[in-house]
Amino acid sequence: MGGLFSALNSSAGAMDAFQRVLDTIQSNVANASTPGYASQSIPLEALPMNSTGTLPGGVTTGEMQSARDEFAEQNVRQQFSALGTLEQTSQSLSNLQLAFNVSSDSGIPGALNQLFQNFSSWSVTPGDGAAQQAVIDSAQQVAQSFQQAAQTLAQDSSDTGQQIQQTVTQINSLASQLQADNQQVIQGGSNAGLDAQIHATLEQLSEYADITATTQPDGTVTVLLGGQTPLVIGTNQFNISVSFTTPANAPATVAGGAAPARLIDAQGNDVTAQVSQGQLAGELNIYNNVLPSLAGNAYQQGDLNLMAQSVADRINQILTSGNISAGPPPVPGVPLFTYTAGNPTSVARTLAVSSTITPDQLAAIDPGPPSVSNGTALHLAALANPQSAADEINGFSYAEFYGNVAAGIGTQAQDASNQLNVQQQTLAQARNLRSQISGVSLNDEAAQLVQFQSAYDANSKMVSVLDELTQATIDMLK
Amino acid sequence: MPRDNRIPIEPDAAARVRDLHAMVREARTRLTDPTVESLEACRSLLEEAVNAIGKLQESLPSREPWRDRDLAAALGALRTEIAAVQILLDGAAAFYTGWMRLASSMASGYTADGNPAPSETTPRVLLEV
Repeated sequence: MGGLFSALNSSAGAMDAFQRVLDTIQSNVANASTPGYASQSIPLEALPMNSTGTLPGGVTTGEMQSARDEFAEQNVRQQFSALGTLEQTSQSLSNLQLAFNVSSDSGIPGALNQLFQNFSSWSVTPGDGAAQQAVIDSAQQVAQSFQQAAQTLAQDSSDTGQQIQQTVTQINSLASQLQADNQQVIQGGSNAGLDAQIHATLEQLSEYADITATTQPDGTVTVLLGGQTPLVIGTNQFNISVSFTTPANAPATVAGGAAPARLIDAQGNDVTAQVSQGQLAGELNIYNNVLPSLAGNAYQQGDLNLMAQSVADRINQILTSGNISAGPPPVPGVPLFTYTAGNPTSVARTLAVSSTITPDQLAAIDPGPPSVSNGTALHLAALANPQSAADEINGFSYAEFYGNVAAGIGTQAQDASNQLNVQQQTLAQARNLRSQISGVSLNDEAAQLVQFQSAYDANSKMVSVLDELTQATIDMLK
Repeated sequence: MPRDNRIPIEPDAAARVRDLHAMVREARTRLTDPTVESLEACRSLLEEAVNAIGKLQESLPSREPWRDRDLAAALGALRTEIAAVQILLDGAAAFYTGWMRLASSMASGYTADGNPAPSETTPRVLLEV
């Protein structure tokens, strides 16, 4: 009888074991598309048996193992962060590219072209009221186009500032969710569903910023921002915030310039430099570096303001060194442009044509000696193709300088777009690699690595030869 | 005669580069799932591309420089594609290397100098009949 009971017990145990395996498979199938879910597996283990029947044998289940591997998860999160940076950068630069058109028919280059042409027409008939009026009208167009560009940049800056604020709020909200999940883990609620939820949240968080997540022995997840700043440790959450102030250790060097955006941790430390990836890093880069290089901030004047000031100052200088009438006594010229002094970052925004100037106050006469009746008008017309450093910005004509700025934005936008394209595939690769290593034994992995190494070497050699040959062909075209 | 006006000696060179580009793009797509099998397929595509560009180069005049904007643009795009292949290849290599370091340390611990100890794998032979 003992043998029969043993056999029945063993069969019942096996049935139970198989049922648990089936349940797990069912759960895997049901959660196949659940974000963050990793398939679970239960190993079946043989029970000892002997012929006397004291050890009945049979099968039982071992501990449930998660196929997820943190190494692969972290790799996916890193790629998510890189994607977040590029998505943000690419989008912001595309918007800027629209505002800074390289075409000479519109915007700043178009208006400047027209002004130089009108200077040229005026130099032919310096006393002609219509030619003088045309100069003033086109000067107004120049001022307006600078104002519009400055306004666009100011709007972009304001939008990006708000985005940074929203991203920080989102990061804190996701951290709070993870803190609540940790609480549940500690209270013994750890299960595949909660695990999936935690990993989905971590993936979401990684798109906003580069985070490091480590699972502690008690099952809770510790999340660090940029590998250093704690966001969640156990059941404690550490909020980050954003401050738009200049730091005490780096005071403003440009009067009136806007302060940079700084990321502040829960202890009040500036942790901006720690965020190098993710949407937040992209936004901070646009706000603190890209936009200020054009519109200026507390540390730089910005190319747009530099150009507006150079154009206005040079034209004013030439006009005021000339005479409206030869006299006697000679009547000196008056400035054409005005802008708010004292804030180098507001020149483009406040550039305007002097409200008091009238067409007949444009000084065409170069007092010399010898005096030339259209000397200043000729000099102003020659600004289109400058011959001296005083008529240039850093060695470039005004049109060239603008072209370089616009081309710089265009190149950055193109690079970001290309990188984004590759990054989308790198993320897909990371996801595939994650599934490749799931549930594979170490032996299989080691064997696979040897094969991979050899395949990598062969591919790498091929890429290198192909690149060299392509470059050589390009060189043949030069 | 200005160099830009010269008629290319190999008129369909740009089209050939575009075909070659498609091959490299296919290799790039395969690298998004870098199994040993897909790497093998990728290598063979790249080899084909190397042969194709070698042949193209031979068909171009080598003594005097000449210009073909269409070809130059196609070659520029090809180089961007090659760079993307390199990025994906290096990404997969970095992942495997990192994973094996980790896996070795989990299986065999660390050596005295702090590096992961090499894991001992069981040699196996698979005989298919």
